[in-house]
Amino acid sequence: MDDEKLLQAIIDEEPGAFDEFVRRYGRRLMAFSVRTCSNIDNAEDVFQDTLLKAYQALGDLREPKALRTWLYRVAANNCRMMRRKDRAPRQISLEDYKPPGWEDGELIEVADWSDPPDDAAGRSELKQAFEHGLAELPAEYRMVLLMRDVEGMSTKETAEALEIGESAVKMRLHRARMALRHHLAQYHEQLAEDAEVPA
Amino acid sequence: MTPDRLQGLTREERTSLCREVVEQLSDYLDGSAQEDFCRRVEAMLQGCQPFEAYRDTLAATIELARRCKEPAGDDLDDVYERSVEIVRKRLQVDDR
Repeated sequence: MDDEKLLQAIIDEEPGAFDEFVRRYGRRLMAFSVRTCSNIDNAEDVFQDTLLKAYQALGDLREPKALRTWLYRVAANNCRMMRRKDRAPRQISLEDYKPPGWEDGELIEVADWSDPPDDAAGRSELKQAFEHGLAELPAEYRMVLLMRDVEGMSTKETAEALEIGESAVKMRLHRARMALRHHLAQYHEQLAEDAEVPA
Repeated sequence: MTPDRLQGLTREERTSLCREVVEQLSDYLDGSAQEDFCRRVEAMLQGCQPFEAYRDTLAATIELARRCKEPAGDDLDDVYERSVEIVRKRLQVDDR
């Protein structure tokens, strides 16, 4: 069943339509809510509210092909509402994460940790480091990275979901990736230091 | 360490090129950069280990994000199931 048929099934209140909707989008919206809210209680509220509002308003959706984008827009707006009491949004400056030496046009030594760990424990620790780095990103940058890199949405879809321009999506994505790379570099640096300490 | 193909450039030119490449490296890695920009990136890469390592670790960061579909948390399944049931009741749908 494609999104168009699913949408029609929901409008027609066909048996199984809600379950199919949840099966297709529930887990992804939950993952997005958890990572965007950084707080399980808030994430639970955001997820429930997103499912509820989205399901009730699906009949008004004019373009069935845009269902996924529209669902993430509802989720993103719910997350923003939840965070509205936060202090002013933090910005990421490229200067903070530039490679060493770029002011002189001569990069100095950069550790290469691009090969993934070959053991399960190493992979699990790396994933934890990723989650920590993700949680440290400002929410507006985190949402862009989640939509583009984790959920695999296009720049255009992400721009529509977040109601910002495509150039803003590209700028935030790049800065979020650089900040996350910086966090992972620090993690690998610490790993290397720990390995040098005699037992 | 200056890549061979950048040896003839002034410090200002190298700085400007380096900045441009770093600022747009995501476009290059996503395959959405323009052809002449890709050529400049390739020029930067010639013999420049730090830049290669920087590019490769940024690419590894992106790949890790693509692989990490699910957030960590032992109780997330319970929260998920509970939430779906709450919404089901509020919508008054029982079509399982």
